[in-house]
Amino acid sequence: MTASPIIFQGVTKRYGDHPVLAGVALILEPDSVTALTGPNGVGKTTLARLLLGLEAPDSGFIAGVDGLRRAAVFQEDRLCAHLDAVANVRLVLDRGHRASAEEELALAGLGSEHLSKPVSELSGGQRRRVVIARAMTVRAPLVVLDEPFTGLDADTKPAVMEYVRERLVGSTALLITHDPAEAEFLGARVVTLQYSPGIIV
Amino acid sequence: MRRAIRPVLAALFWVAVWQFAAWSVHKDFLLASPFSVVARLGQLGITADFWATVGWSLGRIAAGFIAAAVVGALSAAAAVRFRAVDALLSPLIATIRSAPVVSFIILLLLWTDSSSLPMYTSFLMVLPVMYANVLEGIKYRDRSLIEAAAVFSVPLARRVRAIDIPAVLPFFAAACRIGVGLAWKSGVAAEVIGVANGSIGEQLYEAKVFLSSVDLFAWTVVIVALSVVCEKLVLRLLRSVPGRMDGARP
Repeated sequence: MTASPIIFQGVTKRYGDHPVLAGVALILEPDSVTALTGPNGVGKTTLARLLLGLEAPDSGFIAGVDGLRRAAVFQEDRLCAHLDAVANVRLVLDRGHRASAEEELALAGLGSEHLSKPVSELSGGQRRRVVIARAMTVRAPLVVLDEPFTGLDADTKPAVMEYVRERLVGSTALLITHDPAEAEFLGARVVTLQYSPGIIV
Repeated sequence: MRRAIRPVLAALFWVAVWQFAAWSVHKDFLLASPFSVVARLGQLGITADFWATVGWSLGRIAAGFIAAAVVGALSAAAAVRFRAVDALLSPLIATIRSAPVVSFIILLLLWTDSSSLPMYTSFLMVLPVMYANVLEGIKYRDRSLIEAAAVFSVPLARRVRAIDIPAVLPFFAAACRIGVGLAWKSGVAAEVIGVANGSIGEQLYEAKVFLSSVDLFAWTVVIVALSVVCEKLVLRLLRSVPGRMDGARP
């Protein structure tokens, strides 16, 4: 449970001479999902990186994130290719129990025959399920999902989305997506980042 | 099949050239034939002294190599973490790398006895290679995985086992491949110059004193064989590491 909202106030970010975000003001309501949409290159991923603490804003501030445990589904898989699915999930678990990692992967729809293979041998969709299970298993109060369902086939996507919806209960989440149906399914409040450099409209 | 036979044929060709050259020179003290070298190796191999000599050199050179691998890897990790360490070590490593090995051997002879000379010499020759390669490996780690580990607050020891070591391992293996040969070459050179009692280098020195090219060749074959076996052993050991890697082992 996150007690207070996360507030972006006047957040700006530039890479060299290229301004990416210009005075972003945004509130992420506690224990709910906020969907961030907008055209490519407008700064959605940059905003997610700021929220995850991977970058610092050039000016402005982000309040309410100090001390929060974070989890993320990045746009890219970011898995250790030589480790199997279970080891990748256990890597982020506090106590590294194999049983809970296997349970979580099963809930994300990864078959038991794929658990012990190096993730480099899994298909794109299977790897995506590992990535999602890794983020959901830590039960973090702050979760960032950057186009999390990309690469899942139409047959398995609804079940994985249902799993994510259940796991996000009690977390404050930022979902970056181009698909309004995903935002609606997760019950998200939709905000749009527009223009370049990006501002919330 | 053809590809497998090719190196054997090449080796046989050069042995034949060697044999022909030995026949032409026809003076065993100048150029021993391959047959007499093999016969000499047979004589040496059944004596306890031979194995004691091999053990003497192997122990010291291996100790120097292992120390260089450990110190080189840890120094490189420290240099990436702390800029001051990098600034301090870079000129030192560059100096060691470019200085002639005999300068170190003679300097070390002033400070230490000849029995530990091969260990210090192989350590100093291998250290820059280990340091430079491991440093390169650390710099080429996958930044996106490091970021993911930071977001998920993965403990440092677990991250090192799961992300850093597998990334650095190919660079470390390349350094080991070069380093084993360097350790043997420099270590034996130190033994010869220091005339280390009971070492392979002492045997080479005596071969020179007694103009015995058959002993020189026989001991050179032993050194090459030891170097190749050590290299294979180290690489086999390293190849088994990723299989045992499990960053999240409880």
